Amino acid sequence: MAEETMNLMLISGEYSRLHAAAMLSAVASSYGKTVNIFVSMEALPAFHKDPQVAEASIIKGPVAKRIEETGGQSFIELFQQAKDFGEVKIYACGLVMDVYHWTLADLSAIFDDVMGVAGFLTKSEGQPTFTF
Amino acid sequence: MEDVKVIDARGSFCPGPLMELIKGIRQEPVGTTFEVWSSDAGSAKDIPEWVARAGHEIVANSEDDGIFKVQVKKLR
Repeated sequence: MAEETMNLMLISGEYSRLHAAAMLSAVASSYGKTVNIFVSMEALPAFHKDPQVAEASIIKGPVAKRIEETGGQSFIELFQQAKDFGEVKIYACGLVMDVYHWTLADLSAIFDDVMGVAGFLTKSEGQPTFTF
Repeated sequence: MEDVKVIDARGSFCPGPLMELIKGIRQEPVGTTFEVWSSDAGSAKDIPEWVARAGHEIVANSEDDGIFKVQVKKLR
C-alpha cells in the first residue's frame, strides 16, 4: 500500500473543489499513499498568504458557505493535516508564480517547491491523476 | 474494563471526527481502543470505511440520542 501514489491537479479557485481535494489528500495520506499535488491556474492565488488576495480568488457556492458557517476546517488546514499524516508534496505552478512575480514566501507554508508542467508529468506518469 | 480513549468530536462535521481519530491513532500504541463521539451521521458511516481500509477494528458502533459512538481498536 505504501508504494501507491496519487496525483492531484488543482486548477480551479472554487472552494468546493479545493476542499474536496484537501479531504481526499488527508485520507489518502493516512492510508500510506504518496500524494503529489500540482497547484496551478486559478487555484494558486487561493493559497496566497495575504488573505485579501486569497479571498478575492476563491469562488464560494452555497455548500462552501455552509461549511464555513459550521466552523469546519479550512482546505489549507486539511492540506497541512494531509502532510502531517504522510508523504504529501505540494507544488506551485511555475507559470502562475512567474506571471505574478511570486516566490514561495508569498504562499501558504504548505508548499514544497515550484514546478513546471513537464516536472509534474514526469512525477505523475503511469499513476492515477485527478483534476480539481 | 479496558481503558477507552474518548475522542469528543460532537459539533464537528465530516471529515472532522475522522481527522481527530486519525490523529489519535497515530499518537497511541497498538492495542489502544478509541471511542469517537460524533453528532454527524456521515462520520458514523465513513469512519468504519476508513478503519477497514487502514487495517484496524470496529469494536462497536451505536447511536444514543443523536450522538454516534464508534469504538475503534488500533491493530497495527
